[in-house]
Amino acid sequence: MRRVVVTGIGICSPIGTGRDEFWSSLTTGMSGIVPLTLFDASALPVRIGGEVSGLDVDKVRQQIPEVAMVRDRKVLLGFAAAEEAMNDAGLDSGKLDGIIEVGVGLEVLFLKNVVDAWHGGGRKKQLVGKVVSDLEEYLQTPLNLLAVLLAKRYGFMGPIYTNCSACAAGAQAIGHAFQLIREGVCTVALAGGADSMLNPLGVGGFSLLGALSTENDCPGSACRPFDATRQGTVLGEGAAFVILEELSTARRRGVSAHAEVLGYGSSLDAHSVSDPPSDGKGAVLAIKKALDDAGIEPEDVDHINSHGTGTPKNDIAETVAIKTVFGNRSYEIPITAVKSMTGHMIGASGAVEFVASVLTLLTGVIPPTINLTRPDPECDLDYVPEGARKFHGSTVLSNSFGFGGQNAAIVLMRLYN
Amino acid sequence: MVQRKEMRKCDVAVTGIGLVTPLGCNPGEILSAISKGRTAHQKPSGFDPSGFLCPVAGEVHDRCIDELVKDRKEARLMGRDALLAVAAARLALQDSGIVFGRDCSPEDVALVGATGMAGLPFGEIEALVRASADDHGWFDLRLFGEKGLRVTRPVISFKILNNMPLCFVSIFEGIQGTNLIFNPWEGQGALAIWEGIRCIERGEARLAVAGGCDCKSHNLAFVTLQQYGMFDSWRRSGTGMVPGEGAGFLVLERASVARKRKACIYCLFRRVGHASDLDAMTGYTSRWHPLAEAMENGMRDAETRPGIVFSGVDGDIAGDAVENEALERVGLARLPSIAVKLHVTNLFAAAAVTNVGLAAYALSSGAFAGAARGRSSPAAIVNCFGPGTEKVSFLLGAA
Repeated sequence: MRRVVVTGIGICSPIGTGRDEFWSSLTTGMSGIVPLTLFDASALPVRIGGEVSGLDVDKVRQQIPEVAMVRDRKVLLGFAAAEEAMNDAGLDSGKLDGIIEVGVGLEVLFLKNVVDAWHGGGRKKQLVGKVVSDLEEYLQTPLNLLAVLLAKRYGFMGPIYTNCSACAAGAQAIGHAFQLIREGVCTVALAGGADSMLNPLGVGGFSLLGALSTENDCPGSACRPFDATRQGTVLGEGAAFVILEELSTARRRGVSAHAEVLGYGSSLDAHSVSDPPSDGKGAVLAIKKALDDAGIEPEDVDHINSHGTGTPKNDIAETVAIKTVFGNRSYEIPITAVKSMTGHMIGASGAVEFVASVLTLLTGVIPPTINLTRPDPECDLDYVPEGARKFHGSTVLSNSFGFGGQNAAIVLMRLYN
Repeated sequence: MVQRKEMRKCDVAVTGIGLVTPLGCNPGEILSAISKGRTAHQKPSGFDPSGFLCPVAGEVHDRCIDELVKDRKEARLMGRDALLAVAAARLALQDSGIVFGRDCSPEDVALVGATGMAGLPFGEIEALVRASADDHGWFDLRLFGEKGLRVTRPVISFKILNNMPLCFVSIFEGIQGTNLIFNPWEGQGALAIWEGIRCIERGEARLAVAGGCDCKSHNLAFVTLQQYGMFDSWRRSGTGMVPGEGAGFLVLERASVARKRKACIYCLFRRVGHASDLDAMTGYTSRWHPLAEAMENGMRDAETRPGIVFSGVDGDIAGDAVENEALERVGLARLPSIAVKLHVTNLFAAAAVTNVGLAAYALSSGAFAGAARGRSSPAAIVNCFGPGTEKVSFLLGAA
């Protein structure tokens, strides 16, 4: 069985672009949730989100020819993160025996263009071919746009996968890429997630579901995973990519590995498209499969990077799942919720949290869960609320549970030579 | 410490086929219709296509769905693509004879699928669009927030999110195992089937339900396809690709296990070939090399040569010419060829599973045996070469 290691990481998030800025913000408990500026949200019930402010997207367009004409924000964020990951791994573009695996939420339907097309600017009130031929801009971009452009830029020979399992997409992309390298299908993968739902239909659609916090006046504390007063999650945008390689290939290239990926598991709730089962059975199954795949026992896990969205039902279900798998020991495992600072980056969140897990192994620091001041009695585990904590362990579990009931869990380990 | 599972190569069999297409929901009847030259082309029922280059589409009869998706309350939450997917998965599992609990645990069943882009018919957001336009017909964010959202049903998110069809299938069938979902073209549908095979090979699942669904027979999809130039053949030649809606799922399992439970085995997967064409992101490939490479990879080291081709041609003049050239280059041009999409219409993310499902049924039933007469081996090559970067060829052998 081949061993798979992480040799490159790149990140673009509401709390920092680039690994150093992201990690500094995350470990000091800085919130990236702000009043929305990407569009005028003043008439919407939700007017806050985790915006990536530290990235000059015009500069990205200038520097990377493949995205010069791209409007879809997640593609631009994705390229910024992927470029960092490629540089970090010291990988040269060329004909790479590798795959691209990108997790994304959903395609952007440019609502403004749809409305303008339908009304024909007042000329003809129907969506017809004649109006279409006049349109200068697409109504939507295909979901695989980022993956294909990345393959073109860096020379990955494929296959090119675009995973759309909602909030689990980034984690599933990395988990699946890990499986393919371990099986010898390829030697290297650029895998991760990118998403930006911070557009009118994204924010409006999720607010209709009642999944979002409407605490517009206090954005920094609006996302409160595991807190008794939590109202809902906050949408964010971002991207994270990692380079996964077979250990022997990485050693041959002379690059150091950040961590080893040990195991991956996925499952389906088969319960409801909107809510997780209260017993967390789908999450339990994904975690158990990941541990089994890694060849470790529950007592070997030293830290959990949780899904932790800040929605009332999700946080309880995840807590129940952790207790089911880890028993009494679940009270001893430090658990963190990155989304308390970044917001929920949907298709990117699993990848961002995977990167945070790698950085915990690399730096020996567990980031805190911020805004957790009044613990929910039903969420009574150690969520690291007081601030960052030193980490002396060697094994981390990263959880991602998708809207609709798709779950993923990944086990990482400090690499001992 | 628990032992890691080693991946073992095995023959993966198709033991269940569920297809919901504009040409029907029974593989035998669909193949019969194809052999008689019938097509599913019709004027779209939901909009006036007169302004579009393509005047026709393929639509699934609602009765096919109504018979299979009886929970009307749940159905109201679903987009059209999800409805089609749930119906197809039900057919596939019924066809396989599998009973969860008796034959396998739902936790040991993998679900792998593909969905398409532009799956949301305009009618679903029409009220939102009307309410969000100012007096001059331009989009107004304030109106969107104050009026548009108020006339929009919260379930809109369940219809927009691309992973929902798979989630609904899992809920309806109780499938709890490993899962993956890809997007947005035919190639991704083919990759989903391939991943279903891998799930069985690596022992990750006892059974895999693999396929795809798509809905391209509505006006928003027509806008997107026309914008991407996929109707250009109609402008140049007066004929071209016809988009449609549909879904399909296959039940895959280890052949030895299927034989043990005396299941009907339609075919075995012998090999899978793949190539990427990065220049075909939102359209047809213009070079024969990637298609030939996929087919050659699909036949490499295989013990059997195909006796029949289930091709990927869909009526686009230029695109079809490229596949024909590729077939010539790999020496398959003289084989009898079945062009499923010319009859069923192009089902995009569901096209691969439809092609593979019909080929599997044909191998099992002897349909088109006459056409393949004289060939030494009962095998078929199935090309999943629609628009998009990923090109996949499956080599199927009779059981």
